[in-house]
Amino acid sequence: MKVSLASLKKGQSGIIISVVTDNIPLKLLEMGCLPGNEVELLQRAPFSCPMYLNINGSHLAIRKEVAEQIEVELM
Amino acid sequence: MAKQINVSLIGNPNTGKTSVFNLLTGLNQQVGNYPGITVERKAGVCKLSRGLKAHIVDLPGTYSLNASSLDENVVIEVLLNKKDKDYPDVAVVVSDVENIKRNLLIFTQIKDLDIPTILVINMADQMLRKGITIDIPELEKRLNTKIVLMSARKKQGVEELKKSIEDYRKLPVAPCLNAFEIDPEYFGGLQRAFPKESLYKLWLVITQDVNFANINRNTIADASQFQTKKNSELKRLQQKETIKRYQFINQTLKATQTIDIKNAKGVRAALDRVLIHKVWGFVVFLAILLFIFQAIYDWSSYPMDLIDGAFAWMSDFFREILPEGMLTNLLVEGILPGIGGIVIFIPQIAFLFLFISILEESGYMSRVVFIMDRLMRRFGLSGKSIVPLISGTACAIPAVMATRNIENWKQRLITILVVPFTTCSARLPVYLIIISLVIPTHRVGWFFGYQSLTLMFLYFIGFGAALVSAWLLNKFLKIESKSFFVVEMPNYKIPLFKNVAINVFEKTKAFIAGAGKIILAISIILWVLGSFGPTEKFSKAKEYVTTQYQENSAEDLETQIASYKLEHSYMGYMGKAIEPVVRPLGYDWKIGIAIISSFAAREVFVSTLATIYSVGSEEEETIKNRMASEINPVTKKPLFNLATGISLLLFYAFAMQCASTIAIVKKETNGWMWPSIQFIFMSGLAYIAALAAYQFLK
Amino acid sequence: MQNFQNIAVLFIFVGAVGYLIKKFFWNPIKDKNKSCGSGSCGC
Repeated sequence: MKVSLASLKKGQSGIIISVVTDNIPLKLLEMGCLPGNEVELLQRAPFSCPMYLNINGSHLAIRKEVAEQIEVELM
Repeated sequence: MAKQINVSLIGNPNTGKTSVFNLLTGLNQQVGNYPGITVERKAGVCKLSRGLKAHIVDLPGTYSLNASSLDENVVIEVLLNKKDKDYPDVAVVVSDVENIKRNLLIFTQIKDLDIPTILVINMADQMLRKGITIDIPELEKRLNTKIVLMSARKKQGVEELKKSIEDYRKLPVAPCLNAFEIDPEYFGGLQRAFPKESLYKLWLVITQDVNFANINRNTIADASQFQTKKNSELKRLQQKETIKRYQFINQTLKATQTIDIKNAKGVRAALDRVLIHKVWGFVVFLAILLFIFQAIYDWSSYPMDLIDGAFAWMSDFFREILPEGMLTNLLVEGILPGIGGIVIFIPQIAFLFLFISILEESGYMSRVVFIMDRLMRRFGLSGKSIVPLISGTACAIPAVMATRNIENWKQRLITILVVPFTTCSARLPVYLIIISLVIPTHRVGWFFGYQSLTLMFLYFIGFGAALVSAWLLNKFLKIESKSFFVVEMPNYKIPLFKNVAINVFEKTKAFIAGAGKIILAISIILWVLGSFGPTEKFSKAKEYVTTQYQENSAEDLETQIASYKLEHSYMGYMGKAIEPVVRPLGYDWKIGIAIISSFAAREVFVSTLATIYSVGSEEEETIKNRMASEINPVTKKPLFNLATGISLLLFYAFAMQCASTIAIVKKETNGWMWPSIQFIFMSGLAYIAALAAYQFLK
Repeated sequence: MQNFQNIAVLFIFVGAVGYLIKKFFWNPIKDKNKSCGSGSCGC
């Protein structure tokens, strides 16, 4: 099932399918947020933003607006 | 004659790059700035064998050569310009065992620049624990490089690294993958147009705003025959490049690395559960903050008393052994108190940097940024503003410098503008002396005293003013800026003592050197202004006063002469001139002068008063006693009463009174506009608040 | 002795004033054109 990364629940994982290229900073891709890589939502911050993720082995936090631009296939 | 090898240390943040740097250079390191911008430049020297020396520059941590912030830009500037004095003979890329995949991205990019490169895999001692094994020779072959396994924490691998640096000429220079397969036509054309330049270099120039020696962006757009791509196409190409590199990295690691146990989600996950918890996260953070502030306050008081006493003793000592005269007076009454005023709060600043450094080294600070981000953004700040705001309680100067990792310009600007509101160490001496003079020592409940409550209140006002101003600025500033918030959450580590110590040392040194000289210069000027007068009234003071007050005792006469002299010195005239402006606030001309001089550096208030009250006086009463005995000539009651005290406290809480801060804000925002606005706004607020307080309370 | 002391004070005073003027009003010449140094750069 295809969903936006922003809608993942705590502990859920998925495979990144696509990334809306214009709005995503290159930096995020460079840190491993690429189609084909696995991502797991570890925790959300209070007020649910930012999101603490494990992307391809990298532990990162990104804001919700950015996560909304990333499409994920639930595992 | 020792030959020198230029080495650049490059790598992701949190790989222990700094530890490697510290291991190589020890205390032979220097921290400065890159010319024209406020990015920290760390360089040091390492002795190799046979008289060779390595000149090592620790470049700012970055994930990729595609820079997204000022300090990341520095990395490209150095690596692309052969004429740059830091241009390396050999690059050392530092990676860590847990994050090799991501760390290798920048490694492959650097390999494309024709610079001999060594790969350090740090934290190698963790490999066993994490069940990671790496086929080093095979990896070396595929990456076309030399690999050095290190554990900076256990001090292992340094010798091997040094040897590899020495033998840098033996390193293969060819790149490890061909990234340009993503668009052979375009890149082929590019290389043909500029056959002499490294292709990757050209590509970087096109995609970034980079200027270096012989090629810039315009040249490429004009001179080439082929079509230059639009920005969106360039971006897409960059993404393809990144994907291609990761494909290569994934393949390579698949063949050379095995991970046996899915390790320790253990410690990190457990800690994160608490520290980022909706409720506990904040509770823990608050508790840590309170602890830090209390500790700094308590621990510093002992060394501060020592320093106070030492300087008082020195004044006595020098006055006794040196011959009488103007120079001696300058030394004892102007210079010594001036220096003392700076030295005395080194303990506080050092302690605060100690705590901040520990929090950062341990990895906890990223969690703080994480939980605070949403809240901060309501006020126009970023989660990353939290470190500058906390640093501001030591000194605004390193705090402003710490804002450079905030990617969003508007958020960064707002942070810079409001940081001076936080209660910096320089305000403390003023607060403390006023509080002890005018606030009663009663206790409320059995734990809190009025005095400490007042102090806490002042701290809150500082933060409050910062947040409110930030909110206002956010509403009214129309600045477009994109938000690229990405924060790495590193693994928790026990802070390395050496790193923390060096960090504290450097920050304290920078503060002393920066603010210290300004303060010393002002102390000298103030003393001169107070010890010379333009008219006869000054030079013939003794006669005037003696004839007028013939009936007074010798002692009284002494103090009256001193006071008369001061009133008719240059400083006295200046103070008198602004007295009408400050009288509604409850101040007299002496306080007026102290405030003026504080506009150069706040702590000068206390040392100015010290100068004012000891100018002409041979006794060494402590400042507090002198102040307590000052009488307001109009009301005939003590000058330092509650109303004046509160008024002063508020004034100091809000006024922009630090020339050094103005200087750095000017540097960081590139112009006089923002610091001027900041100055006017803060000083105006201070005046109004002090006015209201005095008129209301008197 | 007095004269020496007075002259020394004068020198020190002028030095202090000079230092402050230099610190605040002397704009260092930028030798490299760092484009990412400008305030409005949203990078």
